[in-house]
Amino acid sequence: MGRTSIYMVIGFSTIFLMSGKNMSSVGTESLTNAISYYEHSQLNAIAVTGANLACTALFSNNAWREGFDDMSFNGGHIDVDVTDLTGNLVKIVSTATYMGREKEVVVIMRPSTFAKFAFYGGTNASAAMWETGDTVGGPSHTQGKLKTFGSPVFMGKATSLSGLTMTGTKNPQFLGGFESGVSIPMPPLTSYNAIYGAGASGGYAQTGGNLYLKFNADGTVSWKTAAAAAYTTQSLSTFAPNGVIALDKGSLFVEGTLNGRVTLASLRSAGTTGGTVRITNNLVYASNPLTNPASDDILGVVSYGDFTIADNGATEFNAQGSFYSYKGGLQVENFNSRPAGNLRLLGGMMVEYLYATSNGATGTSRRGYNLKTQFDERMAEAANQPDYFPSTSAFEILSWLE
Amino acid sequence: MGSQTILDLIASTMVFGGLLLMALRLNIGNTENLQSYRMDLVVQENLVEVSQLLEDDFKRMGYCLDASKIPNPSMTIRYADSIKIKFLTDLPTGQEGTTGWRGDGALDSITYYVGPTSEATDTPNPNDRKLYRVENNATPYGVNLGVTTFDLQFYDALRNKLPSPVPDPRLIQYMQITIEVQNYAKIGGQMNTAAFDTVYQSAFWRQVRIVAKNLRNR
Repeated sequence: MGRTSIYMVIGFSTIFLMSGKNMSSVGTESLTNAISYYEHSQLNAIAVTGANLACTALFSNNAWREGFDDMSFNGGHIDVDVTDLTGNLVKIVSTATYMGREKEVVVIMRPSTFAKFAFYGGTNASAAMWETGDTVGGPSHTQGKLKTFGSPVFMGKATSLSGLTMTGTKNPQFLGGFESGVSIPMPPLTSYNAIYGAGASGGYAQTGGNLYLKFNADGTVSWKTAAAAAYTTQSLSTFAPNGVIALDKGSLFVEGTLNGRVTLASLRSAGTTGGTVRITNNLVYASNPLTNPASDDILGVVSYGDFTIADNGATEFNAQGSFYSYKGGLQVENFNSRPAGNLRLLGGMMVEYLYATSNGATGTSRRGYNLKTQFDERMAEAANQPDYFPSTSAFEILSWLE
Repeated sequence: MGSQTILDLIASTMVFGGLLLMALRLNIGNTENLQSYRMDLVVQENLVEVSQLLEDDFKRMGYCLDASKIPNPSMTIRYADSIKIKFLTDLPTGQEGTTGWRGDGALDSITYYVGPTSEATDTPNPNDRKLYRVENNATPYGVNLGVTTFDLQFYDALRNKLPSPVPDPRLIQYMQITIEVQNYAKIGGQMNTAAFDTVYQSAFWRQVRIVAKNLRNR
């Protein structure tokens, strides 16, 4: 053992140290990379959590604007600001900080009305079953259990309160997704007073009796309050400047070609009579949104009780608009004896009850209408929904950025 | 210098030679290991880059600063199959933390797909492919980050797997993204070259996710 051996020991030690250092530095870099990815994910999760908490608070209380200030969560901190934007929109900005990094989630929400639905079935309508060949053209909700047989098609997002029961081939097509556990009850009776108030303050309002309306394609409306009376014709902007025509505890009869933007209401604020709508003939838009998506003709019809499609002897009956019935549904008069044909509904149908529209027979013994509904895509936009239409009393997410 | 001295010299040379060979072998082994670990790191870094890019883009699926531009969220995905997806979004015009990150309100599209293995011929790995990310109608430029697997699987609202290509992208509610990244070259002779799959460092990432909140919001 001389000097050479010492040199060798030193040499080997140096080699081992160098290679050990290199190995450990690669290991450290690898770990740093993994941690960086983890932190990125964690930061995002914290920011999303803040946004979700804010959404929940806002769903519970529409007036909630407090936000969260420096709330600790899972090793990070959350700040949430809630601000009102024009058009009744609400913006939620959730900012998370974690390990010195910051992440923002921005959510825009808007109040939701029933006009967004192609179909809404209240508690009593949930017994109905959608079957192969049925198509719901847009968003739909069932305030009960959604029942399907075979492969009906739901073009928009479908929600239900109590889940989904599938029978037959069990292959419903949900093109906008399906979500269970969503409760969207119809608003209470008193909430419809706002429509009447709007009619009284800037539109047309009437208590009791009958109101007969015939819309004309030139933007006028012919109206009377007794069956035997003669019609008076006025421009819509004169008859109901704000577009709201409300009748309380009476019967509304309507038909014609609407050129304008109108919300009709037949209410029953109290008592046991009135609050019905009878559609006496075709009720259509002057500019058909199917051929002209830019059509600015908008109709909302709010009724306490049933909508009745009067028996006018026609085999094709067209109704265009969003039809909302608080305690009733869509009735086809003489459905088991009138000539067989089609009831074509363009818009939405929000009802508490579903009724038969035909006698269910085939061939020459068939009577009544096939119900053919199509969603008016314009109603997906809040700006295109009828004014003063019943609200779901909740916000819906318009956009989510994370 | 006697014979004993010569024998000592020979013996010491042999001992030294043996030690030198050991040192050289040790050095080679260390170098290979180091190279292997370094390549593992590169593969891992590439995978993190790819997965973060995908995550950030997919989270923006169906988002637009002007939400009225996407009135029907279910129409967001324009095309989907097992190696390609095209969807609508609003691309950021600035870094995160700036207002530009929220987009400009104009509708954009992003297309992701992988090319065939024959495209990436400049690397020894026969399995790697170019990953393409195309904004709107821009000319596709692929990057080779060693992606060997880019597999997309789609599921409907009832969690049924959808065929590829998806006949109606509106059905898509959930998706599974799988990415495998491999090193571009084999590592040294110490590795097991008999089994082909073991000679390229590889990292794997899979995520099953709701497509995007914007597709289910209304």
